[in-house]
Amino acid sequence: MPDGDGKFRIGIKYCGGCRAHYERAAETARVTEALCPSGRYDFELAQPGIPYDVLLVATGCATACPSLSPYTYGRAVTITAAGGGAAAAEEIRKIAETPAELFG
Amino acid sequence: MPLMTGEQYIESLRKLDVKVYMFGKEEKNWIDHPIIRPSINCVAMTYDLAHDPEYEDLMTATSNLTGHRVNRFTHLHQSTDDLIRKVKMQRLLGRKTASCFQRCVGMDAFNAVYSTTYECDQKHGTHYHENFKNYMIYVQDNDLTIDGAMTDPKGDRGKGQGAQADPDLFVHIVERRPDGIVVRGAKAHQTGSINSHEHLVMPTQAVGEADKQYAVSFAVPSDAPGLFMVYGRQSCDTRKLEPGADVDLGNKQFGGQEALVVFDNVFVPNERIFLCEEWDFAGMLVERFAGYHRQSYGGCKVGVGDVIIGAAALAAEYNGADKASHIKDKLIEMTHLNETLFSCGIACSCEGCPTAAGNYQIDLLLANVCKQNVTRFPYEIVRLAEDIAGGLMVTMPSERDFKSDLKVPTASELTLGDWCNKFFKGAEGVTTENRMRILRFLENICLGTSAVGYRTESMHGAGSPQAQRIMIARQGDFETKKKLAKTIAGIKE
Ligand SMILES: Cc1cc2nc3c(=O)[nH]c(=O)nc-3n(C[C@H](O)[C@H](O)[C@H](O)COP(=O)(O)OP(=O)(O)OC[C@H]3O[C@@H](n4cnc5c(N)ncnc54)[C@H](O)[C@@H]3O)c2cc1C
Repeated sequence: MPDGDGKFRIGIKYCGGCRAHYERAAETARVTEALCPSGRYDFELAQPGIPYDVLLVATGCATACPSLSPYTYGRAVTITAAGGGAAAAEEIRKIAETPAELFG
Repeated sequence: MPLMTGEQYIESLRKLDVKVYMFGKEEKNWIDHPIIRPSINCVAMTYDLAHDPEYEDLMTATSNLTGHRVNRFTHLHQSTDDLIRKVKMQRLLGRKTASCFQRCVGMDAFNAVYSTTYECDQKHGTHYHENFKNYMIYVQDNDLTIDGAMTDPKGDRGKGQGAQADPDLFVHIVERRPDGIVVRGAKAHQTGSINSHEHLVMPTQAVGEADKQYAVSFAVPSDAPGLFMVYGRQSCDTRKLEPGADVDLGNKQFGGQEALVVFDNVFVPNERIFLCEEWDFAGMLVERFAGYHRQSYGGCKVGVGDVIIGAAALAAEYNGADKASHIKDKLIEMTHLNETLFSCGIACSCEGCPTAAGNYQIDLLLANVCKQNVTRFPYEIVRLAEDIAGGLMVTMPSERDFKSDLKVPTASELTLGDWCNKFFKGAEGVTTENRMRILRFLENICLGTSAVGYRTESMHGAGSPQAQRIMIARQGDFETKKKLAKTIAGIKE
C-alpha cells in the first residue's frame, strides 16, 4: 500500500543474532538490490512509531524471536535462512502489487 | 548519554585515576598496555554491538526505572523473555570475542542486589533498595561497566570470617561514621575489574550474627581513595609483549582479565551502602548472585564453544583429515556438549519467576545444573579439539621462524622460513600461515591466555563444583520424589 509519495515503505528489522546461521545483512541486501532499481521502494532500518508497508525481518534461525510489537506495519516478511532474500523480494513485490484494501 | 560506543567507553576509562600494579610496579598507562588492551577491546564490543542494528535487539532493553533504552548489561530483568535474551546476548558476545567479555558479573550483581535490598528493607526498615535504585539509574544512564565483586581471599578455608588470623581476609566494616562506613579487605579473581568504572561489592558467603561486620554490600568508583588493583597474570601473557606478535597470540584482539582488588580503608558514603550488618540477608544475596551467574555460563561459554568447534573443524580441514568419520563424530560430540549447556541456560531462564522486588530470577535448581555441566563439558570440548588439532598446536616453531629469511647454511640454501613452511604444510590449497593461525587459536584457548576464561573459570567462576552440588541437594526435593516412588510401587506406610 504505497504512501502519499507513491513509495512503498519497507522497514528492516534484525533479530539479535545469537546463533545466526547465515549472513542476515547479505540477505537483506539481496532484497534491496532486487527491488531498488524500480525506484518504487524505500528501505530503512525499522523504527518504532513509523508506519511501514512491509516489515522485512531477518532472523538468524527459525526461532525468529524478536518482538515486532513496537513496530507499525502492514505485513511482515521474514527471512530465516540463507538464500531467503530472493523469495522475500518476490513476496514484497507481490504485496506491493496487491490492491490496498486487501490489507485493511 | 544512555548508550556509549566502544570508543567512548575506552575514553571514559582514561578519565579515571585507577591504581594498577603489574609485574612489581605501578602501570600508569594500563589502557594501552599490550597485555591488558585485549580485555578492554572485549568490553568495548559490548558497547559497539548495542549500536549495531544486527544485534541491538539482544543488546539493548528498556529500563524499568527510567523507560530509557539501555545496554542489556545494565538491565534489571523484567520477564522470562529478558532472562532468555540475556543468555542469547552472552552467546553472541562469546561468538564475537572467543573470550570472557567481563561485563556479566556486574549485570548479575545488579539483579541480585536489587531484589535482596527490597526484601531486607521490608524486614529491617532499612533504605537500601532506594539507594540501589538511584545507583542503578546512574549506572544505566551513564552506561557503566561494573565489577561484580563477591569472592574474598578467604585465607584458611577451614575457618569462617571471624576466625581468620587476619581479619582482612574477608571485606568488612572497620568504622561507622554519620556520613558512611569505612571498609577494609580485598576481593580476589575480579573479572574485568581494572576496566570497570565501579565495583559493586557483596559478601562472599552467609554470615552469622557474631560476624555481622562482614555482611556488607556497597559500590565505589574504581579510583576511590585507598583502592588499588594487582593484575592477575595469565599463561603465555608475555607473548603479547613480543614485537609484531600476531599469529603466535592465537587471539590478538580479545581476551579476559582478572585482578586482586584491595580496599585499604575505603570510605563508602551512606547512599552507596546496600547492606550494612544485616547478616541474615548475606546468604540470600550470595545465593541469588550465584544463581544468575550460573545461568550466565550457559550463554557465554557456549558462544566461545561455537568458535572452538569452528576452529577444530578448520584444523581438520587444514590437516586433510576432515573426511574421517571419527573426526566428524568428535565435532558432533562437541556440538552436543555445547548445545546441552545452552539448553540449560535457556531452561533455567524459561522457568524463571518474579522476585518480591519485581525483577525476575532464574530457576535456581536448573541454573545450578547448568553450571555443574559447565564445570565439565568445556574440558571435554577442548580435549576433543586438541585431539582433532594434532600435536603441532604445541610444538610448532614461532611465527618469526616461519617469516625468517635467514639462510640456513646447508646444501639446499633455503631460508629458515622456507624450511618451516615446507615441513608444516598441510592439505593442498591451504597456506601454512592459515594452518598456524588456527592451531595457535586452539593453543590459546586450550592452554594459553584464553584458557583462563574457558577452562578454569568454567570450573571455579560462580563457585566451584561442590557449591552447585550443595544447591542441587537443597533444591532436589528428594521427599517428593520418594513419595512418587511409593505411590507407583504401591507402598503404604
Ligand atoms: C577466571 C575466574 C574469574 C572469576 N571472576 C570472579 C568475579 O568476577 N567476581 C567474583 O566475585 N569472583 C570471581 N571468581 C571467583 C570464583 O567465584 C571462585 O574462584 C570460587 O568461588 C572458588 O573460590 P576459590 O577460587 O577461592 O577456591 P577455593 O574456595 O579455595 O576452592 C578450592 C577447592 O576447595 C574446596 N573448598 C573450599 N572451601 C572449602 C570448605 N570450607 N570445605 C570444603 N571444601 C572447600 C572447593 O570446593 C574447591 O574444590 C572468578 C574465578 C575465576 C577462576
